[in-house]
Amino acid sequence: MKPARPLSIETRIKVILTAIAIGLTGLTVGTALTQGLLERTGEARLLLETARSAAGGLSAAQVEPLLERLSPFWKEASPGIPAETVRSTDGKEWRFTLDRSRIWNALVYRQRYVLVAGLIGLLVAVELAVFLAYSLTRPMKVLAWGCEQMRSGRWVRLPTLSRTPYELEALNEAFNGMVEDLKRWQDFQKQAARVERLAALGSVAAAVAHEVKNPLASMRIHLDLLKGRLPAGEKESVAILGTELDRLNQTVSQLLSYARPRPPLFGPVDARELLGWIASMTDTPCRLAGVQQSWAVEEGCPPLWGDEQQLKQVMLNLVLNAVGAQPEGGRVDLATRREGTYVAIRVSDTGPGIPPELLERVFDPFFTTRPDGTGLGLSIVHRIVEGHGGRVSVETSERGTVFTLLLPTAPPEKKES
Amino acid sequence: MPVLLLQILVFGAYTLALVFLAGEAFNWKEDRRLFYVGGNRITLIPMVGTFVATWMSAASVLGYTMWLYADGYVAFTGSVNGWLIGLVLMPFIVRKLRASRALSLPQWLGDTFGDPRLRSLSALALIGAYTFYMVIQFRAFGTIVATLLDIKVLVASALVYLFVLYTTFGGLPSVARSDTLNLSLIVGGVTLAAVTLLGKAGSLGAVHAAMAGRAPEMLHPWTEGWSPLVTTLMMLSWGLGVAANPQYAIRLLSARTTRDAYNTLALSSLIIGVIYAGLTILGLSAFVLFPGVRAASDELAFTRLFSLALPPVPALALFLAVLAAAVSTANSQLLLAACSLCYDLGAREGRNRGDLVTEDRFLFKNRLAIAGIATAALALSQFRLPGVLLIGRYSWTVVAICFFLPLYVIRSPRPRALFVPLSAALLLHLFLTVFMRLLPELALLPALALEGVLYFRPWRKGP
Repeated sequence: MKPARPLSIETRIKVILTAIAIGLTGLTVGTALTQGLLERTGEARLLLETARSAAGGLSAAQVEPLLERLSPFWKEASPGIPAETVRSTDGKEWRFTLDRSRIWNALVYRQRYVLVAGLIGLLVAVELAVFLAYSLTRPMKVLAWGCEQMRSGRWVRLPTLSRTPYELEALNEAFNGMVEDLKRWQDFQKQAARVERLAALGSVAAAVAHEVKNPLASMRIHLDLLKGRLPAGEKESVAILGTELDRLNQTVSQLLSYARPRPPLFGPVDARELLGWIASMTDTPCRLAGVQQSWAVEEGCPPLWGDEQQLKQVMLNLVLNAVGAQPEGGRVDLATRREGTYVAIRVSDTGPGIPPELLERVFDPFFTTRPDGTGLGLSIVHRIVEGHGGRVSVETSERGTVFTLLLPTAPPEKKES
Repeated sequence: MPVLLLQILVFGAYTLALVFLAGEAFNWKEDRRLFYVGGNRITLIPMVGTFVATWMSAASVLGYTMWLYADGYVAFTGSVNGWLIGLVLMPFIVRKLRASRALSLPQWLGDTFGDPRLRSLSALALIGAYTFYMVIQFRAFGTIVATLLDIKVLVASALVYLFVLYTTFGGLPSVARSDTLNLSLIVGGVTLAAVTLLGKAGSLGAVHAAMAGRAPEMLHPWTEGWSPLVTTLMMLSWGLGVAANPQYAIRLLSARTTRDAYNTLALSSLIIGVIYAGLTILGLSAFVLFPGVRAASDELAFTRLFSLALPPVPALALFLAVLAAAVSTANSQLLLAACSLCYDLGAREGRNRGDLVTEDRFLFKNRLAIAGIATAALALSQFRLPGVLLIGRYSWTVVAICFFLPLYVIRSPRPRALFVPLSAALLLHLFLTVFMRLLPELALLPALALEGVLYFRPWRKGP
C-alpha cells in the first residue's frame, strides 16, 4: 500500500490557526452565553420571588397583571411536571417553568455579531495561515529548485527574495556560498587538469618538434642546392616547396618555444617603447587589412618587469590575431593603465567577437578557427604571461574582443617588501 | 437549538469543509498552466463539479426562481431555455479549443487572429463583465444572510467575499475541488427544498391546477407584455452569451482529454436539468402556497418567501445552496478576471513562462489581483446597482460580442481582421443600451450582425 503523503506546512498551519480561531470563538461566545444564561436565570428567579412575595398579599385579579411581567423568562407549566408556584391570598395557584428556549434564542440573537465575527475570524485566520505558509515555503521551494538545477548540472545562484525571514535568508546565502565554493573547486580542477594535459602535450610536442626540425633544415639546404640546377619551368614548384618548408619550420619553432620556452631574462621594460615598437611592426599588416591602429600609454605608467623579447612576442601575437579577426577592416587599440603593482595592457578590436562556446578554449594549443592558423599564438601568450607572474583575460561581445594582460611592475622580492 | 445558532453552525461547518477540501492555496510545483487551466489535467468528476457549480450562479438559483414566482413559465422561456441553447452549442467548440495551448480565451482570440489588440480588448471586456457579475453573487448571498441573521449586509457579504478569496487563491485546481463540494450542496439543498415544498403543495399537477385557476397566464411561455418575438430574441441572446462564455470554454480546455470534455457536457446537462426542475418546482409551488410575497429586491423576497414557506432545515439547505452557487460562480469569474488582468493585459514578461522565481512572482501578482478585484466587487455590491438579472444581461451580452463569432462562426480566421468589427459591435451595443434604452439582449443581435457584416464584408469579391 502506498504510504500516505505527509501533511504540508500549509495544512499544518491551517489546522493550528483554525483550531485557535474556533477555540477563541468558542471560548468567547461560550463564556458570553453562559454568563448571559446565568444572569438571565438569576433575573428570572428574582422576578419570580418578587412576584411570589407580592402575590401573597394580593387577590387573584390583582396578581394577574403582575404575572404578565414574568413572560419573557417563564412559561406556564403543564400539569404533572415540577414547577414553581405563585399563590394569591384567595388561594389561586399558578405554576411556572423557566422558558429556557426563549432565553437561549434571545441570548443567541444578542451575540449574533460575535458569532459572525467568529466565522469571519476563522476565515481570516485560514487565509493568514495560507500566506504564512507561503512566506515560509517559498524560500524552501526556491532552494529545492536550486538543488534540482545543480543536480542536472546547471550552476544557479538563488535570488534574494523580498520579505523573507532572516533565518531562511541565511539558508539561501549558505546555498549560494556552497555553489560558489563548488564552482571555484570545479574551476580549480579544470585548471589542474588543463595544466596536466598541456604538460603532457608539451613533452610530446617538444620531442616531435626536435625530431622534425633537423630533417627540415637538411631538406631546406638540399632544396636551395637543387634550385640552381633545375630548368626555369620547374622553379615555381621549387619556390612553393620552399615556402611550405618555411611555414612548417615556423610552426615547429613555435611549437618548441611553446613546449620548451627559454627562461625569461627579466628587466625593466618601458611600456611606451614596447607599444611603439609593436605599432611600427604591425603597421604594414594593419594597412593591408584596412585596420586602423592606435596606442596610448597612461601618464606616469611605470616600467614593466619582464623579458622584453618575450613581451614583444606576446604583443605581436595579440595584435596580429586582432588584425586577422577583422578581414573587412576595423580598429585595433592598445592602451595601458596602472593597477596597483601591475600594469594592465588592453588590446581591443572591433571584430565580430568570439562565440561564447569557444571562449574557454582560446588559450588551448592547436585550437584555431582560422584555416591558416597554427593555434599556438594565444597558447604562447598565455604561457609567457603566466611565466611573468601575470594574468591574461579575454572579454568578447558582438562588438569586439578585448584581451587584457596584467603584468607586474617590479620583481617578486620588491613586491613582497 | 435556536435556528439562528443552527444557521451559524451550518455556515461554520461549510467554512471548515471548504478550508480542508479545497486543498492547498499554494501548490508546491505550480506554474501558470496549473493555476489557470489545472495543467490541462482535470478529471471527469471535478470537471463536472466545477462546470455545473459555475453554471448555477446565485442569479440562476435566486433570479430564475423569483422570476418564475412572479411571472410563471415565461421565466423558463426567457432565461433557462436560452441557457440550455448555449449548452447544446458547446460540443461544437470542444475540438477547436483543445487544438490550442492557450491559457485564456483572450489569448486564444489574439493568437487565432494574430492580433494582440484583440487579446487586450477582450481581456478588458472580461474584467468589466466579471467584476459586475461578481457583484450579483456578493449581493445575493449578503442580502440573504443579512436578513436571516439580522445583521448588516456588508458584514454578510464579507463572509462570501472571504469564501471566494480563499478558494480562488489556489487557482483552478482549488476552484474545481471546492466546486465539487458546492455542487453537492446545490443539488442537495434545491432537491430537499423542492421535495418539502412539493409535499406541502401536493403534486406538480395540483400546482398547475391551482395556477390555472388563479393565474392562467403564468402557464403560458410568454406574456402579453412580452411578445413571442421579444421572448425568443431574449432567449437567443442568453443562449449566445452562455455558449461563448469563457468560464465554460476554459473548463473544456482544462479537461484531461477531449473525451472527458464531451462527457462533462453530457453529464452536466443531466445535473443542470435536475437543478432547474427543482427550482421550477420551488418557484411555482411557492406561488401557489404563498402568493403575494413582495420585497424591495429579489434577494430579500427570496429570503422572506422561503423562510415562510419551508421548515428551518430545508430552508437552511436552500440558503446554503445559494451560498454555494454564489461562491462557485464568483471564484471562477474572479480567476478569469485576474488572468485577464495579469496574463492578458500584464507586462510583456507576464506573457511567457519564466523560471521558477519569475513564475512565483507572477502568480503572486495574480493573487494580489484576485484580492483587488474581489475587494472592488465587494465595494460595488454595497452601492445601488440595477437588478440581479439586468447585470447578468449586460455581462453576458458583452461576452457574447467578444467571443461568439470567433468561436462558432468564423472558420478560417483572417489575420488582424476582427479588431475593427469587434470594437464597432461593442460601441453599437453601448449606444443601443445606454442611449436608446434597449434591453442588452435585444441590442446584442444588431451588434453581432454588425460584427459579422464588417468581418465578412459580403460586398467584396472573392477572398
